[in-house]
Amino acid sequence: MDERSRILPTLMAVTGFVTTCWLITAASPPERRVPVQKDFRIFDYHPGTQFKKALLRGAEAEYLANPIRIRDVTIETYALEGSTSLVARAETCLVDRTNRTARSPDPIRISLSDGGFTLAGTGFQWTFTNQNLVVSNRVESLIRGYMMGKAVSQ
Amino acid sequence: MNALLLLAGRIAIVGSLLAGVVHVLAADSSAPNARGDISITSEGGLEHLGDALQVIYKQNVVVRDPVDNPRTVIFCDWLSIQRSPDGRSILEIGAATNVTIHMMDSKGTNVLKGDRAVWTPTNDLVVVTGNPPVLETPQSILTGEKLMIFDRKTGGFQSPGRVETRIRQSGVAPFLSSTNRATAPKPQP
Repeated sequence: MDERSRILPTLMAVTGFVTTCWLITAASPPERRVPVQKDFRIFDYHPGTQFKKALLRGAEAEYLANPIRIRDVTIETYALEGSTSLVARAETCLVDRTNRTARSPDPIRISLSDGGFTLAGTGFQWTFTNQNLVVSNRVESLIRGYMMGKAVSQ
Repeated sequence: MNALLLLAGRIAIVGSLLAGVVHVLAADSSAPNARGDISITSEGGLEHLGDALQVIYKQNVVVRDPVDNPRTVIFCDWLSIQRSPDGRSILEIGAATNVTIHMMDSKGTNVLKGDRAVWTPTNDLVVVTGNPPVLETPQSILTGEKLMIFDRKTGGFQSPGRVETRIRQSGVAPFLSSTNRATAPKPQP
């Protein structure tokens, strides 16, 4: 009798704990799935024309969120005649739909003039409207010799 | 056996021809050897103004030309690079605030100091303006009035206007000062 009186409260406590855990698990909401779009693209056009001025594209984008989180980012700008002016690549970025900017703390690599002028740094902000790109830290760049004209004869 | 020898001979001829072509290609690839690459680093980041075709560097900017064996090194707080409208070349490199340019030649290092410097790659002239611009060579210290022009092609300097030169005795202490001012100031009574 004494032994039964000792076991019963313990058994009830264990049963209550297990039931509580099950209820908590059952009551928690299901894991929220963020819709992801592959090959996401945002265009900007030269004013008054249908010619592309800038393109931001990503391999994947959580497009329903604001800001939009984009992975494997490429930014390209184009001259009016269609030639590519700038190509920038980064791992991720956040695109703000409201003020049309993209920003990221990740490293970025920029190529101008078909690789004649390359820039690299960490952390950036891109503005669609005026095509301004600000790189915050650890800036290194290289200008190829042919961009500067003839050799110095010293 | 004869066929084998003929084949070996043909392979040898083709091999030598290919070697010659490779040699010519190698010579051609090294022939242009126009100009070394230029590196630019900065601690305060950069801003690329897409519409203006301009890149602006901020804070402790260092330019090395050429990057592998620098003959010219520019230190400044601000640096702007203006690209041509077609983006295929650099029109102008402008340095501002605490500009120091180190130029190495066979005689040593010349140091040019000023407030602003503009380097035009088309004619390879560097124009330094300042308060006042100063050129320090291993032999002398030359102080200009408004601007100094350094020709990177010839290695020569020009300084229009009044110039003061101090010639170094042993590389540090000046022993002679001269000025090109036409009339010396009158002594005060």
